[in-house]
Amino acid sequence: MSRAEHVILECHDLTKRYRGTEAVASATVAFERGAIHGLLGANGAGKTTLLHILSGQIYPSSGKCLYEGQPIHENPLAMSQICFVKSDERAWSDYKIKDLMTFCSLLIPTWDQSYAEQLLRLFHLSANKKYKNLSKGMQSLVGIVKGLASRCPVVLFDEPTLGLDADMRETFYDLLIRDYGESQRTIILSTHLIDESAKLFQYLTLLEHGKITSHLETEEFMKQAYYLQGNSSILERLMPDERVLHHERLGSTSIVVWCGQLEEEMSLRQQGVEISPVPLQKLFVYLTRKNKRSHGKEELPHEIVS
Amino acid sequence: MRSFRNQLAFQLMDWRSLIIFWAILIVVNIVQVLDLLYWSSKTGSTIYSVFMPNYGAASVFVLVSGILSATITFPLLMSVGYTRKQFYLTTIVSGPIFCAVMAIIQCTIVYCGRGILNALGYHLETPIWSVVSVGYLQLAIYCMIFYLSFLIGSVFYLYGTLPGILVIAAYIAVLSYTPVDNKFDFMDYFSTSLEYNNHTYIHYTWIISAIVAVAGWLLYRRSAVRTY
Repeated sequence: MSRAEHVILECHDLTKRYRGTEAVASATVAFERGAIHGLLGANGAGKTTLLHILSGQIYPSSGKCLYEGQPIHENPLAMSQICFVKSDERAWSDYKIKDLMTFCSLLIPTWDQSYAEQLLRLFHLSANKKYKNLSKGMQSLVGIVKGLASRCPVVLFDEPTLGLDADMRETFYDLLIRDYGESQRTIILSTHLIDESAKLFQYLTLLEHGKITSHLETEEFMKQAYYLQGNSSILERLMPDERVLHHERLGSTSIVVWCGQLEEEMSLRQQGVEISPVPLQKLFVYLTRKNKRSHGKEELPHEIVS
Repeated sequence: MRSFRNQLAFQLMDWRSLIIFWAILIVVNIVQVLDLLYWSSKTGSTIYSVFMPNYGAASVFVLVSGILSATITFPLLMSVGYTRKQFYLTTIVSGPIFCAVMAIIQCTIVYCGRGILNALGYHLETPIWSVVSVGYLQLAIYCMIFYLSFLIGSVFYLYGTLPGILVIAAYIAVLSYTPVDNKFDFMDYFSTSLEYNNHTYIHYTWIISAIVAVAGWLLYRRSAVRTY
């Protein structure tokens, strides 16, 4: 498969500045076609800004953003193929759900009205209610209906599960997997609920302070980190290494979170050190905190965090 | 083409508010006629007060529609994958269509109303302007109001409250401008044009509309949808 066939959406050296602050800084990433991508990052990392740029809603300060190799912005074909589901749609406030569905059916070429109605029934959304009178969770569900029923080749979800209870979140994940199985659409989803949604993602893109720090297959991403649990005297010598993201000591036992190549794996195992994978959410937390430390930002004291 | 038709249909979808607005106005006109027939000695109303407020009310409705086109329709259309150019083109086209509908409805109400009042024994002066001329004048003025308010709404949405207020202040300053001698300002131009059956002044409204339309595109071509 050529690169053009493999990649559907990409950005090169993308920067977005707001009054001197770089919300997105020299971001370069290529999103693989027909995959579910997780876009992860701390609050203020630039996820929402990046998604707005990828959907053509805002222009970058510099750099380029391409869909199928063509610029996205002001490209009717590209923009009609990308459905962006925001976390908060203020423009919808005074409209009833049925009006919003009518707008979508009129304006989105690939809109599946029967599927939209099916989803509204599934989510128990009353078509006659105004968007602003819905709870936050229900507003998220309306966005999910838009994203799924649009049948667009690319769907960008910005925090689609905000306000949803656990049952609805699982329902959404199941629908997404089923939809993906049927259509092989490209989905980019930003979320803070990493462990829950980890099973969905084939690729992970990590954003820190507006920079893309990582874009890997999920398996590959998780394989690079380990919990090392064993005798403190054995693990202490590893502490100065930059690949240590986090460490805790409980008496004579230490737990080290290691991210990177572990050359001494065999030797450590022989010394009784337990090596286990790090759950994705924990890994993300450790990476974020390490990044904050390296940027000199304050953290909560360790006791409070524990 | 289908996409353009769909966008246009979307822009002109909100017919319910239009119906409610004119229904209320017609009820007000009926009350005014009843007042004229039965209570004019107490209220002091005259034939000339009937239907006249409609023009102001319609102008306000057009003004609000212009603002909403910028603040609601723009992000809404962008959220379903339309480009700025597509949005702007359909707004520029749908605006005059909407204004024409307002003008036609108002002319219909006024001339039907005149007929009813004549039948009731109120003999009104023959208007200086033909119904077509009045309709054309209304269309021109409503379009100008639509585009000007669309520009106000755009500035508020794209740049925030202070720039929006500055634009309103600029409008007020222009309305009060006395270009030739101290007899006329822009508002006087239009009432003068009515009085002297002079169509020339209507052309000014089209020129203003065209300038505002171009200025609006300069704002929109690189505009950003709010991320909050």
